[in-house]
Order: sequence, then C-alpha cells, then structure tokens
Amino acid sequence: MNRLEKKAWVNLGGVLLCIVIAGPGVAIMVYMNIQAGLPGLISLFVTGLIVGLITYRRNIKSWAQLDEREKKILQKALVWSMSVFILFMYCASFAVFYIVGAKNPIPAYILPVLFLSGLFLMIFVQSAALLIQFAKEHYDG
Amino acid sequence: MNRIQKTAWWMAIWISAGVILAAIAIAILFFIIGLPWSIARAGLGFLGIAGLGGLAPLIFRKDQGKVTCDERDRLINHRAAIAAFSTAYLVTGLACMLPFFVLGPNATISVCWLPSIFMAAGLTVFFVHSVAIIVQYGREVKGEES
Repeated sequence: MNRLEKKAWVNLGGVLLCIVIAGPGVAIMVYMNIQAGLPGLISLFVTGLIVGLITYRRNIKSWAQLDEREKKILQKALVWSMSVFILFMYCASFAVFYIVGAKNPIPAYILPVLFLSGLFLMIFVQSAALLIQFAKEHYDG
Repeated sequence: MNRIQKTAWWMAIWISAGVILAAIAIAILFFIIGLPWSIARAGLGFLGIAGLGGLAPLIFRKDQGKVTCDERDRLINHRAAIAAFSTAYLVTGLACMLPFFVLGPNATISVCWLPSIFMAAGLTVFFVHSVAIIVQYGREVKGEES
C-alpha cells in the first residue's frame, strides 16, 4: 500500500468520523435552536481558513514527492470529486427549489446540511476514486 | 495577447459590467426612487449581461493546425482554476452558513437563496478564473521586462 492509498483510507475514515460527529451536532443545534450569531460564524470561518491553508501547504509539499503516474491518478480523483460536488449541489438546490415552490420559505438549517453533505460526498468520492484506480492498476498488472 | 488572455479579458469585462450595472440599478430603485426591496431587487436582472461572457469561445476561435497553448499556459490555467474553485467554495460555504448562524437554525429563509447561492458561486468561478489568468500573465510580462 503506497502513501496515496493510505491517505485515501485515512480520508475515508475521517469523513465517516465527521458524519458521526457533525450529524448529531447539527441535530442538537436545530433541536435547541442555538443561535451562534456573527461571532460564531467568524470563528468558524477563521478556523476553516487556517486549516485550509495548512492543508494546502502540506499538499504542495507532498505533490512534489509524487511520480507522474501518481499525479495523474490524484488529478483524476480530484476532478471526479469536484464534479460530483458541483453536480450534487446544483441538483439538490434546484430539487428543493422545485419541490418547495418558488415563493415558499425553507428552514435555515437546510443550507449547511446541503453544503456539509456535499463536502463529505466530495471527500468520499475522492478517496474512493483513488482506491479504485490503484486497485484497477494492481488487477491489470 | 494570446487567445486565453483575450477570453479572460472578455469574461472579466462582461461579468464586471453585469455586477456593476445590477448594483447601480438596485441602488437607484431602492435608495433614490424609494421602491420596496421586493421590487428594487429586479435590478438583479442586469446580471444577465454577464452571460455575454459565454460568447468568448465563438469570438476568439482556435486557429486550426496551430499550437494554441504550451506547458506554461497550462500551468497558468491550472493555478487559475485552483484559485477560482477555492474562492467559489469559500463563497458557497459562507452563504450557506450565514442564515444558520445569524438567524438561527429554525428561522425560515426564502427558497430563492438556494439557486441564488449557486449562481453566485458560478459567477465567482468564471470571474476569479479570468482575473487570475490576467494577473499571472501580467506578472510574467513584468518579470521579463525587469
């Protein structure tokens, strides 16, 4: 098992863990109607930005260590995952729009639930695409 | 100026024109004429002008049999795409979280938020992609001169 395959398994585990933690978390917030306000949003945004920048820097470093074949596989997986994310978000938002009706309101928790589901789906597809491509390579030769 | 730069300029100009005209129209209708927000937001219709940016591939056609982009162009395009999608994810994330955090999870919002968010994200992708391409080519030209 190479480094990318290990990373894919770790990501897959991470996504499952996030769903296990985030799902009940959002449910509790909705049930208790917790209003975190603008400071809550800003703190979440800053934390996300810091984590994103650290991940980006680490990815740049690890990208240089990959060979051409691994780069190609990773790029394919990234394109698939981003396409699935965009497709999911567009389909889900327009489905809700048409089901609820253009003039009716929706609860505010629908938006983060859609976005987080899209992100989890994206990581899941990326990891699955990496594992499938490596498994296919092992099988072919 | 190569085809990629021309396309980027074309997109950036039309998207900027659409956004600026929509902002001016809403400002005039809402603040100067004093119409209610439900009517003043009709100014958003000017965003349709941004759609003219999509004509770029028809106007700046590929030269048949000529190499239109090299490794450097591909790298610039790749970096611009990363910048564009990262910004769009940020915009989408913020727009999705804003009502949840500010109004509260059980508050209700208009269903029009949903398609509006993803249209804004799409517009952001094209705009940031175009600007990133223009900036990167601009930097390279400066670098060659100095």
